[in-house]
Amino acid sequence: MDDARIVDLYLTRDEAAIAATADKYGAHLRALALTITADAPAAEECENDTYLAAWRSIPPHEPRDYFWAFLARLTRHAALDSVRARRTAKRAGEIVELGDELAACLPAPESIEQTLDNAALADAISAFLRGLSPAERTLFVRRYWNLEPIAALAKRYGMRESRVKSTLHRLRGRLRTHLEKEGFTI
Amino acid sequence: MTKDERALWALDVMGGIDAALVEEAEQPPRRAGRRIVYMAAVAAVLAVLAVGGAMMQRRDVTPPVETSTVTASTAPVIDSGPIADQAAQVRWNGVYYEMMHNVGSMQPGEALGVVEFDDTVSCMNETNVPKDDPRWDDITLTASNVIPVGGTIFACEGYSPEWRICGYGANGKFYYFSRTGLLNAADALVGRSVSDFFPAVDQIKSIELVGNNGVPVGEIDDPAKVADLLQWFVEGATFISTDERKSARTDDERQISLHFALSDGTTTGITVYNDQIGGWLGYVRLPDGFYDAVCAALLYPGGDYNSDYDFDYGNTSANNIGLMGEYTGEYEDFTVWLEGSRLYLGSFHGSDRRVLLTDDAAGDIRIEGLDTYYRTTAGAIARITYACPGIGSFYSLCNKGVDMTDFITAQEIIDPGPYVRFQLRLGVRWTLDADGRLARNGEIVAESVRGFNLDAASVVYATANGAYRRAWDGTVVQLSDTPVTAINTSGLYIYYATETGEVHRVRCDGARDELLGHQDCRKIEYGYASGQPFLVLLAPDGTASLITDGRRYVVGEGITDIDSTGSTLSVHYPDGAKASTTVYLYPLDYEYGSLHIWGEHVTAYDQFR
Repeated sequence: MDDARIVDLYLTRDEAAIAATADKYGAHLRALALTITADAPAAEECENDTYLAAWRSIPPHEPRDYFWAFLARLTRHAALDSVRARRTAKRAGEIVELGDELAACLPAPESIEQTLDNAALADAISAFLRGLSPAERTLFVRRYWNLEPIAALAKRYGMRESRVKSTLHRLRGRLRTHLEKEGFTI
Repeated sequence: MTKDERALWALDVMGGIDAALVEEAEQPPRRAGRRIVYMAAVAAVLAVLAVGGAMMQRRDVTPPVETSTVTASTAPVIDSGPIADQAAQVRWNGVYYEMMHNVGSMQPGEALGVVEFDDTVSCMNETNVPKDDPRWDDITLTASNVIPVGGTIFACEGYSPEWRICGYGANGKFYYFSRTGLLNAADALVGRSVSDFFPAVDQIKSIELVGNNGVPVGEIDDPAKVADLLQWFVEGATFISTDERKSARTDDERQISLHFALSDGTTTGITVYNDQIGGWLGYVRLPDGFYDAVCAALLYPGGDYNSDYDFDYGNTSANNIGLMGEYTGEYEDFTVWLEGSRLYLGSFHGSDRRVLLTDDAAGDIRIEGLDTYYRTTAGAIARITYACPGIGSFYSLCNKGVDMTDFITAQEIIDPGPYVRFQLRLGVRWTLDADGRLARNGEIVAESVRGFNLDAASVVYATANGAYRRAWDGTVVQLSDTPVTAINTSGLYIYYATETGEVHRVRCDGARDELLGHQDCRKIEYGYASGQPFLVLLAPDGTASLITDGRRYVVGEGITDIDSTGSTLSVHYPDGAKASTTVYLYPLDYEYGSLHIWGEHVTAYDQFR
């Protein structure tokens, strides 16, 4: 079933929307959640949370053209929350480490409630990413949005792990420079 | 902020990047062979051009990609939806209840408890309560985004509180809620009996059968038969888990819903998915033979296509979600739409990713398989054929800005016409010329025709002598013997407007002609939104009215044409501009409870009678 059709099921409050979403994207969402949480039961819970969140947020949202991204964002959010709740777990440490890499090239927030600036910052990162080559862009997104391990990225892109790391290092540097030019203080 | 908090904050910020970047990262990485595929497609185009000869009236096969900004006057507009940010709901006893809109004469019963947690949320960000608050995960808390913390939850008189509950909203209004069949709510019923909750069957007088896109397909109006069927369900259906439902899913499921009213005016419905599984409050295993008994009550002979016809196969003059799949084994969607006389392929919903296919289109677009058909400004019938890209999806490639004209293998006139209206179904052409001749693949089947429409089982047409329905086997039924100005069909029912300003609904077999109300019409469109059907009537003076539940809302003026597909309504203006919106009949912003369209609540209406 195409995405627009599934979204219309949500809009008409037809519970078949959930089944259609699970059929088309369930395994993919669970895989995303598993990548982030490294915990199968938690990943399954994140998948279910995603369906419920989608049901509650369509409408008003109508993500016909970006349904996967919409769902994935909900799953990512749920999975990161799950990691936060299990901070002592090994995976939590890895996620924090990954976030730390990224945080080093972002401006320091004054408080964790800096929501509005976060949106502007996300826009600036999007603009930076659009200026990259497709290969660089997707590599960066899969590392810091999908939170994929270096080994998985190396396999996906047919690169050595050391090259993945050096490419990401270089891209983080360019992101930092881009944000500074945009007026962010890092 | 600690170091760990900062790290997680950075990942949260990254989570807010543009959705298109996330979509792009999902695509397979580029490989060297990809270019070869493109080259093969171009070669295929050239080969077809070389051998096409006189049979193919070739048009410009490489029209320029339109990259200019869409102007406000011509841009397809999708409104931003209701202002509420989530469905109005209550969580009680661990399961969710969603707001009911048809509350009939229900009355509150005993008090059940009080709301302990305000679970108002925004889609991606917490608003009222921080997202790390542990109460979010405690489903034993009674929660609501309508009834305020401390507000009382009541049972509904005559109903199990496991089905329906009610309470005062923060605005002082009283609201009713019905259990959803979602996830934990559905699974919590496993092992229970339907008879624990189901209302007394003797209060239900008739059942309407509805296909999976809201098209009515049958009815049972003998009270004795209704009681027998429902009693069979109540005694034999057992609740099953979501997993059991998943494992019993079949590829050829034909979903049918049984809608019926209770004695207090509220409504509910049973859904059957296949011969084993159905749904009511949760998933149920159906009694043996129940599904066949439901199917035996179908009156609309639309076959397997009937329930999907209007949505996926509908003829519209503005836009059409098409399917292509012959080569990939998977259906992929793409959209073709009209702006003025320009026909575009691409992402209709607010994106600037589009390709100009032709600039001589007048409308009546239809996509079947890899072919897109349309009526030209000269009244001819034209066809554009694509080769499958063979890698990734057609739609995604278009969204990435790939020049999709490389994949066009033919653009040809298949019938010079001229015609004023054209529809096509499964390769069969239906045309209407300026003299009122309705033809099937060029063969005249009726004269003095003013308008026609196809559904999955028939063609219906309006003439100065009345309204007619012609089934695919050639059988003709006269539906009305008075002059008719507009006609449309939606499964079991056909809607038509007379010269004297009457709007009627009649069953497809000619039975039960019913006067719905009065209005002069030159076009009728049927839609379905929020679980409720609606009509859109276009008056000769260009006023468009939406009719639902006996109410008439004016939804536009100065309009030349209207289209409705599912819950999407499009209107056209004299300058060629077009605008589209999603129709919400019961907007989630519960403060209003009226029609929501064009980004606004429409509260003014009159009775349609």
